[in-house]
Amino acid sequence: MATRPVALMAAVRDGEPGAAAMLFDALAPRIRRIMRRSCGATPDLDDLVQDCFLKLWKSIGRLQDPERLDAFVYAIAVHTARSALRKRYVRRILKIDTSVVEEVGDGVGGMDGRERARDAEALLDRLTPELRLAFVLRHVEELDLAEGAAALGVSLSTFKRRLASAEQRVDILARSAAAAHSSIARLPEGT
Amino acid sequence: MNAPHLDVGQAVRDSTTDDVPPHRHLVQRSRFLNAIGTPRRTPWGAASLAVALVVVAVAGWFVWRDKHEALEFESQIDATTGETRWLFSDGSQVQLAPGGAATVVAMQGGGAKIDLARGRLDVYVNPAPHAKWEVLAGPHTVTVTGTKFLVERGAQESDVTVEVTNGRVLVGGPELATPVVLDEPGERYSTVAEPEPEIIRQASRPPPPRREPPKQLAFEDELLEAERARLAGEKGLAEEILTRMRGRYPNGPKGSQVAFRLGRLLEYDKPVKAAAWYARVMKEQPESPLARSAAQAIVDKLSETPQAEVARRFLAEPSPSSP
Repeated sequence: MATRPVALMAAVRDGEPGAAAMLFDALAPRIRRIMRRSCGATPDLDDLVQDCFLKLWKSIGRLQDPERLDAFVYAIAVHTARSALRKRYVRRILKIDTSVVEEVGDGVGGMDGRERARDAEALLDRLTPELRLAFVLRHVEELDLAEGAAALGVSLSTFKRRLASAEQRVDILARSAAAAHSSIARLPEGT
Repeated sequence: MNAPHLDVGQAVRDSTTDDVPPHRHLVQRSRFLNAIGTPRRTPWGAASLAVALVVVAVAGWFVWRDKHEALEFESQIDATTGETRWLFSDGSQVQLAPGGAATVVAMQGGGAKIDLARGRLDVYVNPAPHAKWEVLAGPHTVTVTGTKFLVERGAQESDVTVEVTNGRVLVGGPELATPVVLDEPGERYSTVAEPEPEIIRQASRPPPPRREPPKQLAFEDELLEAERARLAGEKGLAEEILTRMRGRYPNGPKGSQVAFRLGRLLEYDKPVKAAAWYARVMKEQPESPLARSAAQAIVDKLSETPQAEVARRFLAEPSPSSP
């Protein structure tokens, strides 16, 4: 973050002109990244970022310690992502999810990188919202266990349990996908 | 070889960075700023301001109310002792001994200003912040905020005695450079029979002089008293006097006369009651001209009351005095 949290919070608390823009500039890349990693390449990503910022702006007055801004941002972003994932999960169960993944990845890593990312996100899409968030926080955002638990608002043991379930599920899905891929590769031509 | 989940995590991490195309960032920022409107005050700043405004408004209202709310009072005459008593809406009471004369000259700042022309006033002022009470006794002014005290005028214009039962009063007068403060029970200021004003501190108040029971007013005088109260707009007092008289004259010509006065007094404010009083006149003294006047009053002014029909029939009958 280019602006120090203390200075940023002071500007917001003092109602300085431009404080909101400053807050957005400082946090938008990170929030967008968290939402993108948590929810995937969804077409409503901009809406999710907007929701997240509105929640942040509404509740930032409750933040007493500016040094805890990072954790605060994580908690709000995860909360927003969880709501979106739950809705999507229900729509998917009811077969009414019409969202289309338009773009996977930010163009980093070339074609192979994008394919890997698309495959990875396809696996994550098959997790429940709680398991997916635990996985993303630990293995994508690389938070430690305590930070992950705090961001999810659960106890450390709950976080560990969810994480273990997510890892196990991802491993199974990845191996199944790899097995299916190799089977397709071995099929004789023309079948 | 990594566990598959670690590769999945790595793949997602590598494909997403903090980089956002500048135009997309600007569009989204503009959207956010539009959504939150103008730069706002911090929530705690706004809340503090709101709380402060509410506190100031409430405090101001109480102060304003204490200072400006006018008291109301009603007069009562004690039939036994002949004392006039003023009961104020804040619970304060002022009692004028028989033979005395005093006037409430102003209702001010949550209190009242009373001019004592002669006689003795027993004053109890209900303590209230900012309430201003004053008793003018000739050249002297007794100022109080909450107390019980007595003011008595003497024979001479400047004679006055002030005695505090409890609380605190200030006595000012032409011979006093600064007001005298009386703030102990029984403390007294008097200009009567002493060449110089003096403050007498005493432990207890002497027993009050025995009051002689007031002389009973004559029937006509009492009627006059009620009439005077009615004309002065003190209908409550007039009704009280007349009701008391009616208690003493439950029947006979005098009782009917009082009932008729009561009917006339209550015609506009309490028509049902007024009609009832007129009906009693008709019943008690049917032969008298007063009864016909009562019936006529019912027909003319109280035609909506149940007694109207009876009154019409009464008037339809030939008058005993008519040929």
